[in-house]
Order: sequence, then structure tokens, then C-alpha cells
Amino acid sequence: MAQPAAIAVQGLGKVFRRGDGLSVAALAGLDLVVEERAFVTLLGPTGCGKTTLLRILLGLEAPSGGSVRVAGRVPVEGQVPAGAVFQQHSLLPWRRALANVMFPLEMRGVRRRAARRQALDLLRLVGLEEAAGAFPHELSGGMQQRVAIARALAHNASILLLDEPFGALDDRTRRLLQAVLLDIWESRQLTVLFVTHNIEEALTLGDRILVLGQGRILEDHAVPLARPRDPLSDAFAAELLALRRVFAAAAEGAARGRDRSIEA
Amino acid sequence: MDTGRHPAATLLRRVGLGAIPFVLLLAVWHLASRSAGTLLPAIGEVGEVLAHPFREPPNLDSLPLATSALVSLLRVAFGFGAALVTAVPLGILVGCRHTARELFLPIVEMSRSISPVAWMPLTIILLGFSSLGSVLYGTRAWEYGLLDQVQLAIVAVIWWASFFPVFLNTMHGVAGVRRLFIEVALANGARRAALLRHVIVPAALPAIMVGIRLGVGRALMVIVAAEFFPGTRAGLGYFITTSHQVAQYEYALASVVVIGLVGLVVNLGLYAVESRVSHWQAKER
Ligand SMILES: Nc1ncnc2c1ncn2[C@@H]1O[C@H](COP(=O)(O)OP(=O)(O)OP(=O)(O)O)[C@@H](O)[C@H]1O
Ligand SMILES: [Mg+2]
Repeated sequence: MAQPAAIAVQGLGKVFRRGDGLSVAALAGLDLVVEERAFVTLLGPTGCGKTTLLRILLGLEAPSGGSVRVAGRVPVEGQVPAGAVFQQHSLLPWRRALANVMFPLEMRGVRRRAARRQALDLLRLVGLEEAAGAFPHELSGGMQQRVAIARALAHNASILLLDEPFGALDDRTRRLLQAVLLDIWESRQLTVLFVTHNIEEALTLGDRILVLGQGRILEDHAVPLARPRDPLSDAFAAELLALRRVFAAAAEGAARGRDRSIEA
Repeated sequence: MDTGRHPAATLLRRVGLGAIPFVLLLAVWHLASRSAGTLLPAIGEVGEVLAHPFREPPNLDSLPLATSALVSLLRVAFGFGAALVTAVPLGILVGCRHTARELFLPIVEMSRSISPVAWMPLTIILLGFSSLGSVLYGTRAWEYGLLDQVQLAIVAVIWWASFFPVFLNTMHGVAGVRRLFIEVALANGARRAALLRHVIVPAALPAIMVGIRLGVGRALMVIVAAEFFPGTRAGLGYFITTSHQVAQYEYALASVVVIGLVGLVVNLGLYAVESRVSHWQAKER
């Protein structure tokens, strides 16, 4: 394998010192390699450190130990070569949808007119051209998330980090956006790290599914299904069941290990 | 907004509703001014003064009402302008830094409870009767009549009156900017300077606007009191004192009405600006 990995993490640890004096080991000895153009889903129960990992990859949080490389570089706040979609609604509320998508372009110094055109193209890509002039609070949750995806794409990075982007959406919208995301991934040849706690979603999207627990990767599961995947097919159902077992075992192990990860 | 009716109809309704207390007030005034032995001037007398704003008031050693109002407004404009250009940058600076907030909190909390007018004797001693005109044009200041009426002592007092609302609201607005917005900007390639311009200021703008509205309100409150002091020969406050001295209360009341109307217009304007810059905040989910 001559190609460098898009994301390479080794022995990553993160300890939070909480206000009540307890230390929480959110990540402990996490190893992770994401090859270029891979679509990797990161699966794990709530509180297992998924968001923490992405924040470290974005340079928003400093690791307590270990090494992290994104596109070959140590992530530095404000200059990370990856687009990101946050878990919460993250559009800047005083900017219209179009201006939100233009934000990363403006930061890169793209001329206003060119930025406008590119942002409009991206909104079209996520099927939201007509919402360009709307403020975030005038959009539904799913529409806001699509704008956030368009903004992450405007970053023009080859790596995309998404933190449960479709967590709060209904099934239909979620499937729609999954298809949009897969399209973009394929056509733009992106590397995607996609966080979710929905097993079916992980299976629909990922080449590989990583199960996170106890602050590290418990399982690295290669998905044997061809694309496009049909969630109603027998092969998908069988794979889903197998993954559920893996996940349940991992979650149980994590529950047993949790006492060890919290220390005074 | 609250009805599905034509906007003009809604506006008419709002103006109509707002006019009711004015009508009641005028009615009470009318009745009170007709009672025996009262010193309260009749509505008509005050209206007569208001109807001729450019007439030199007889028996009064004062400029006409309109010029007096203009002088007062100029003083407010310069005092408030000075507060704006000092309080907003300082508020942003202090709001960004936790230690700076702790450093300045005690002195700010002490200072802001000192009435602006309490400084008046001191500012007069320190600044004398020098004015914007005398600073800019020296001995030829009198040629620039209006600017010569903008005494630095009064500007300083107005500055004090408006500084703290603007400063404190800016500071709290900046300190309260959601961490998420900053992280989103950072994740999208914003550097320090861009962060200030594209996240911190727009996110704090609603709070800054509240500070501006309160600051202007306080400046309008204080200007009249500041003009009661010696050293001014013009302005609405001066207009009031002189008319009291010769017991021409219709002139005093007329300038009270003018101050009220100025406040009404300024506040409505500021509310309009505020709802423009803050519309996203109220509706954010
Ligand atoms: N700033 C912080 N201070 C203290 N503890 C933190 C902080 N951020 C995260 N943690 C802790 O780290 C652990 C992992 O949190 P994280 O947000 O990464 O979980 P997650 O996997 O994203 O969960 P979810 O699926 O609910 O989003 C949790 O136990 C959390 O309490
Ligand atoms: Mg999370």
C-alpha cells in the first residue's frame, strides 16, 4: 500500500478533568487508519467518545497522548484539511443558508462572486437551491443538516467528518440524505468518516464499520455487501443480524470496562 | 405579524392603540389646567410655543426652542458617539478574556452607579468652558456657534452616562457567544481576525444593540440635568431653567414635550434597527 492514509491515529488517549474533580478517560489507546477514498462508519453507544475523536481530528481538542495525522498533518485549530458536519445544529443563525455555505469559501479568500456561484452549486447538489435565501431558523432540521453538508463540502477538502448528521431525522429523509451523501462521496472521490449509533445506517453506508467502546476500537468489520445496497435484501438482513451481535457483545464489554475508565 | 390582515391595517391599528394613552394624558392635562389657581399652562399655550419653534422666546435669555433642541442633540451625539467608539472595542476586548473581566469588574461596578451629573462640578473645573468649537477653531470658535455650544464638560458627562450600558452589554454579549459558533468557524478555516469579524461581533450584535438603546436613553435623560449647570447658555435644560426663573412655564413644558418626542423617535428607530439585527436570536431553536 503506497498510498498514505487519509487519517492515521495511534495510541490516542483523551482524559477529561471534570468540574466535580473526577477524571474521565474518553479515549484510551485508540488506533485507527482510514485509507483514502474509504467510507468508514464509526459505531458506538452514547458517551463512548465518538464526538471526542472527531473533535481531536478537527484540532478542536488536544489529545492527552498518542499521535494523530489528518492528511499527513497534525491537526491545528482553524486549518484542518477536512470538512465537518457537527452533531448539533451548527449553522450560523445570523447568516442565510447561502451565506453559511459561502463561509468556508470566504475564509479561503475566494472572491465573492465565485463563492456565491460555488455555494449555489453545492446547495443544488444537496437539493436545496430554493432555500438559499432562508435563515437557518426558517428551515426544517433536515434542511439545516443538508445546508451543513453543503458547507462541509465547500471546504473543498478531500476528507469529510460527519458526527451523527442524520440522528434526528425521520427514516425517509434519512434515506434520502444517505443516498445524496453516497453520491457525493463517489463523484468527488472523498474519504468519509461517518459517526452514528444506528447499526442499520452504519451498514448502509460503510465499507468498514468500526465499533468504538472503552475509548478504543473494539471491532473492525469489513462490509462484504456490494453497492448499491438494498436494506430489504436477505444478504443485508443477515449482515445486520451479525453486526447486531458484534455490537451487543462490544457494548457489554464496554459496560464492564467502564468502572475502570473512571478514576478519582 | 399577529394578524393575517393587510400590513397597512396592522400598522394603523398599532398606531391607533398607541395613541390612546396620549389622548388620555392630554385630557387630564386639559382638566388640570382649567382648575382654579393652577400654574399649569393650558395645552393651547404650550402648543403655541411648539408651533413657532424658531421664534426667539420673549423675556427669555435663550435661543429659540428648535435651536436649543439642536444644541442638546449635538451634545448628546458627541457624548454618545464618544461612548460608542470607546465602549464597544473595550467591551469586545474585555469580553474575550476571562481575566480581563475579573480585572475590570469591581471598578466598573463601582463606577457605573455614580450619577453622571455628580461629575459635573469636577468636569467644569477640569475642562473649563472649552468646547468642541474652541478646541477645533481656537479664538474663532464663536464663528462656529453651534460647535462652540458643545462644551467638553457636558460631552464628558454624557459619555459617562452612556458608556456603561454599551460597555457592559457588549462585554456580556461577547462573553456569551456560544462556543459552538466559534468551533464551527474554526472547523471551516477561520483564523483569529476572521473569528472576531465573522463570528464574535455578529453573534454579540443583538446584545450590543441593547446596550446602544439603553445608552442613548441614558444620554437623553442626563443631558437636561447637565444643562442645568452653569457654563451653558443654550440647550433644552437651559431653556427650562430660564423659563422657570421668569415663571413662563409653557416654555418649560414645551421643551419637556420636545425631549419626549425626540426620545420617542429615537427609541422607535433603535427598536427597528434592533429587530433587524436580532431577528435570528429570538427565533433560534
Ligand atoms: N468537555 C468535557 N469535559 C468533561 N468530560 C467530557 C467532555 N467532553 C466529553 N466528555 C466525556 O467524554 C465521554 C465521551 O463523550 P463524547 O461526546 O465523545 O461521546 P459520544 O460518543 O459522542 O456520545 P453521543 O453518542 O451521545 O454523542 C463522555 O463520558 C463525556 O462525559
Ligand atoms: Mg457525540
